[in-house]
Amino acid sequence: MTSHDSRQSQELNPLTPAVFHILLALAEGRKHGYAIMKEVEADGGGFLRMGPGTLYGSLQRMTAAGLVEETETADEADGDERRRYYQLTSAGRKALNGETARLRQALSAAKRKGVAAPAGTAR
Amino acid sequence: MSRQSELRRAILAAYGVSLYLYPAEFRECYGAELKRCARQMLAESRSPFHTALLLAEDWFRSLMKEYFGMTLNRIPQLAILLMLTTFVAGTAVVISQQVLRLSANDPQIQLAEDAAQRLNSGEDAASVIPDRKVDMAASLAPFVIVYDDRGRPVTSSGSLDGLTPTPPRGVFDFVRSNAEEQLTWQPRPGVRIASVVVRTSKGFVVAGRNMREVEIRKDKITDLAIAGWLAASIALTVLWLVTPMFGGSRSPQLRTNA
Repeated sequence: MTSHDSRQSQELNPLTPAVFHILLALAEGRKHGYAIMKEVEADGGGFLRMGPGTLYGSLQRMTAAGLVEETETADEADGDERRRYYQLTSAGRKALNGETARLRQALSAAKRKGVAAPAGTAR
Repeated sequence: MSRQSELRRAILAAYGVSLYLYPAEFRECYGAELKRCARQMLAESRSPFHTALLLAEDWFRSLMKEYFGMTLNRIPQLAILLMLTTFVAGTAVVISQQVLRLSANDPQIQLAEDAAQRLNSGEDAASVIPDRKVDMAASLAPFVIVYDDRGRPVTSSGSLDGLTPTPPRGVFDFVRSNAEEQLTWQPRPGVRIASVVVRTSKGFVVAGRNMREVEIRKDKITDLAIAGWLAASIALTVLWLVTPMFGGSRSPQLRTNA
């Protein structure tokens, strides 16, 4: 990663929930848009839903910011359509790690101060 | 075909049409993927109606975001267009008003210069002014006034409230050293005279004409120019807003992307 990439990823922290969850969805490898949407929904515990417009608008800006990149299109297993796949860049991974560390810190601070999670949410 | 699948097909068709409202570049870049995602969402949904609402909400939210982002990037373009429009309208007003004002000096230039020539060749002051008396406030006809070297009226074909008015002393001082002056003279509030003052061997000749009609025309031209400027500004702003829809402007973010 270049110093420019590093500076850019630092400037992006804290990330918006949409950007964080897209990065998180891509943490395990490349995915196409719909798979990212499903992953975001699953990672968000049903609290976060992202439509296609929001997803591709975010992907467009994240690509421009160097957080994700489009990989070569791939044939769909169940059809003849070719889909666009996205994967994390090193800057994207660094931004994701940075944001996760920040959230972890905020969570431990909240625990220290006795802030309880609302009933029914994961602890 | 079941009602559910018909409904899904209709929702997908409507969604496909709604994509045309996105900026052209965004649509061209991601339109097929957006449709594919929507199709999969509908296929996996138990309630097409609920999915349609989700798609509509997402469409509206992302549409606003795309346009807002592009609009911010393109504000300098609009500013330049509006400045150019304002400059063109302003220049048109200034030029047309100057043309009207300068043409308001006709025929006073000829009247004043002819009268001065005749006075210089020894003719009597009373013989160089027109016979017809003119009420300067009411009539649009030109008049001539002859003043002595100290700026006192000698004879006049024009009057205002029964008297012969005198231009400010500074006008005569200026004409003493410059031979001639063309000016707008306001002998009393509401009465503006397009005047030409010429130096003679024994004093001065002023030829004037009420500018009422000229000023009405100037006001009309100003009103037309303001209306034209407003219409052009609105049209340009609307064009500027809708241009991204047809691909007339390229988003800097997409350029980076390409």
